[in-house]
Amino acid sequence: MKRAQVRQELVEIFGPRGVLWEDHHLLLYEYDASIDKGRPDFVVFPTSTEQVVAAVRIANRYGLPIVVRGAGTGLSGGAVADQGGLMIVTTRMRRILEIDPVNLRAVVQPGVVNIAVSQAAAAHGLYYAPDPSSQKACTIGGNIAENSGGPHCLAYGVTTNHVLGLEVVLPDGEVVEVGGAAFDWPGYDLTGLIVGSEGTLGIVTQAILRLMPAPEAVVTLLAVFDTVDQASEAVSAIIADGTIPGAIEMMDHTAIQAVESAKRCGYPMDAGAVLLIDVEGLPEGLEELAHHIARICEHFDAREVRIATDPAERERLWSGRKGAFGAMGRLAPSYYVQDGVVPRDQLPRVLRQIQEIGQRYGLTIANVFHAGDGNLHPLILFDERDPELTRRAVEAGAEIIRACVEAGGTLTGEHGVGLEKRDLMPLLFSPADLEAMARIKAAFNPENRLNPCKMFPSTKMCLETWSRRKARMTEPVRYRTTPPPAEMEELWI
Amino acid sequence: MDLTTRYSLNGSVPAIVRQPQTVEEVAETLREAARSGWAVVPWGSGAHQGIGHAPTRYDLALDLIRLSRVLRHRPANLTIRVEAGIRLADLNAMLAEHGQWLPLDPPFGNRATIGGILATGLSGPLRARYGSARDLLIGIRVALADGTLIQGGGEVVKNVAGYDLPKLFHGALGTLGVIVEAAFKLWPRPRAEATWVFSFPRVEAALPLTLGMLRHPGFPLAVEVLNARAWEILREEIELPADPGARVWVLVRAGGWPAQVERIGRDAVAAASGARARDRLPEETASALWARVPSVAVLPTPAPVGALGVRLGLLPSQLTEGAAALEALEEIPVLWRAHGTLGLIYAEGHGPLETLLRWAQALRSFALAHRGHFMILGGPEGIKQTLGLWAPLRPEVEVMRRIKAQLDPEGRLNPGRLGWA
Repeated sequence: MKRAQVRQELVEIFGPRGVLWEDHHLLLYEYDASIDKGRPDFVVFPTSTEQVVAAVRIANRYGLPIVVRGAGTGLSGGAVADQGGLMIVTTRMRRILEIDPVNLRAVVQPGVVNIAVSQAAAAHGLYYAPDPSSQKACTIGGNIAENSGGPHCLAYGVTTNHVLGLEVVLPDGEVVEVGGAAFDWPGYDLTGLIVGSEGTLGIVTQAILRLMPAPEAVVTLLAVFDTVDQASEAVSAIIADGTIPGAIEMMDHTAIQAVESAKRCGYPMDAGAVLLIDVEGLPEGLEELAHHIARICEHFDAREVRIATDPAERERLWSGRKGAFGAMGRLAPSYYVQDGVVPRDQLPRVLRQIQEIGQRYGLTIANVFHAGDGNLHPLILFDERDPELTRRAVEAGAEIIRACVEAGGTLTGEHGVGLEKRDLMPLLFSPADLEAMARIKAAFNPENRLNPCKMFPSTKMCLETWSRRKARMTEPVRYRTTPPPAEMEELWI
Repeated sequence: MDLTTRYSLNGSVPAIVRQPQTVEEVAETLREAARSGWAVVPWGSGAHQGIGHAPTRYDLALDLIRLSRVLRHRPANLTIRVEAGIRLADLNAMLAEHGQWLPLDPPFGNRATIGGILATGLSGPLRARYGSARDLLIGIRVALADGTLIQGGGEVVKNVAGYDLPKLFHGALGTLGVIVEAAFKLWPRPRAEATWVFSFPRVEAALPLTLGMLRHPGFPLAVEVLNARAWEILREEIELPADPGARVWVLVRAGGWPAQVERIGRDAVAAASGARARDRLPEETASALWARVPSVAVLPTPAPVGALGVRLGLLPSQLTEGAAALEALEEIPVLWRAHGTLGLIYAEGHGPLETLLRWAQALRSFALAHRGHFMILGGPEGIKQTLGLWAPLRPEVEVMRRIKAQLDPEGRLNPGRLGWA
């Protein structure tokens, strides 16, 4: 490849400050928040759709793979340039173009940070509902690529339920609009297909989002249980009862230990599990609803249910959940997080299985997760400096995913397949299913220019990378070794 | 079986009709069709076969009505997996025993099958609260044109493994594959419900109510707007309030805990300060009304002669302009009904062909000028051919064509249904 020539063409478009090509710069863009890494050859920072198109055309001219990256908070390697090539970083496309407070719409560029949409809408009593725990850092573009969820997606749905239309740059540089501000755009639902496609179908350069009216009142319940079993039975019963709270989150004993030693949130240290439940909406009937849920928890032997209506107290209860991943550093140098989902009536059984898997591999596993959705986040604790422990952590992770699939669940609820889980796809999908998905990909991305080797099980072309990755697994280079600084804690969730 | 009456479409009759009893039989039938080069039209109840162009070729009617089993209902997970031929009404009757429902109320929902509802992507008033089938569908199984069975999604409420295939097949009018199974997330039935009705002298007088309900944190179940003519149709069947001076009626359906329902009703009454009449409907009236409303202003299949059904996709705030455009031609009596918080308007006009064409042309231009969309839902094939099924037809249609070519390369599934595929 004529590296100097590519560089020169990129500089002409993006200016010397808009292109990175030196190794010590590229190093910063070789990873996301997952365990994989790969160094791009060039990184550019477009500020407009036209610049994205120009970058795509240059990549096409020189046969470079394209990887799009937002804030790099992804948890499955989706934004890792493991094939090298041109990385397009969207963080300078961060304008909120329009807030329509009458029709409850927002038009934003892909680099807008998730929480910035809600902040801009707050003046109108509105907000953007999907709330990934990294919402203070992650971008709307990344949320769209991964179809991100969050604690409050239980009641309001995930990203795809809140995206109405997109402007997309296709891999050949053509710009198309899909969907729009109105509902039910005729024809195939390309918007629905592109959301969650992990950057393999097109580059989103603009998005039309739905906003929601902010709840008038919120009550937070903390239900304390002696065992995980009781807590998960209670979750199942709350769902079966037909009460759908705004969020139901669970933390097990190990997670509580970590959280309480990092900061005091008021979770009893000897509890086997706690549930954090938000009920929200109109103030009318809300306390009645909260007490109704409290009674269900008590029926499943909750030893204590605290009901918090005061914002400061609610904040304190939630701060433990939000800082939970970061707090794991108190227990072990590294963690490996899984994202399987199970039917909610299977939670008690699968959580027992996860503990059993942990014991078998000699690893401690903490659970901090979206219980109301059945979306597990087992955190496998290990020490990345020990290759044997690392191998066991990765194997235990795969076994947990298998257990989720066998229980009627799925590989990933919100983190995406990316590089991390692509070879587990056959657990869920037949060769015919994968072939159909490959055909859909070919309709958008026939030359496999966009985010190659992601989401699909390793093909021949990608095998080389896979073996590189496997080699890395036995000698890992970048698991987090220290807990993130306090101000970063909330991002690592 | 009389093929000509039951499966005829725009005057054309299939040579072969099959009613497979299992998913495997569907796949086998499609393999046979592939070997024989047959053009295939998947059937549910036939309630919405009038949507889209009439197929350009039609050899086999693949009727899924015998695929009507519930495969797995997990009441404690609020999910269900069913075969595509099951009728929505039967499914909801079963779910009612568990205090649950699949909150969809598309036109002709008493007949419509799950497969047909998914393929057409039509929604009803309840969409205001629960979203459309697109939002409730969590998994799908599809037989492709060559008989290959594929699945996407699953039976869990959150799932990002692989492409979101359920979204692709939803609303594709049976041109990409034959939907054979579907999994949904369910909702508990509301503990309490009530319906309020308001009449207004002008459409714009109703907007404070519809837009107020759009941003109401109590999330009303439905906010449906009907013009006076559509209301009169309902009054012929159900005992409802009358108001000769009304141009438009708004129905607000609230659900939830009793205190929440009362609060939503209070706020609706307050927001409807420009209303001429306001009333809380007796429970039985409301229940009869909601069974009937979703089919108002949508043409049945086959469409009556001299009628055209259309849909406008606008912003909720553009209801006034939309209504004015719909009623602009005096010689065309129009029934229309809108999802007031969503900006979708369904309308049927009656008149001679050339007047209907003029009406449709004007609506098409109106939608384009307002950055919305226009679609013909039912009526004479000639008008569909002249105007095209929908507008705007943007460059993205090229991507749709490529998807169609990838999944049905011989173009044998519902050929010509979309005009371009």
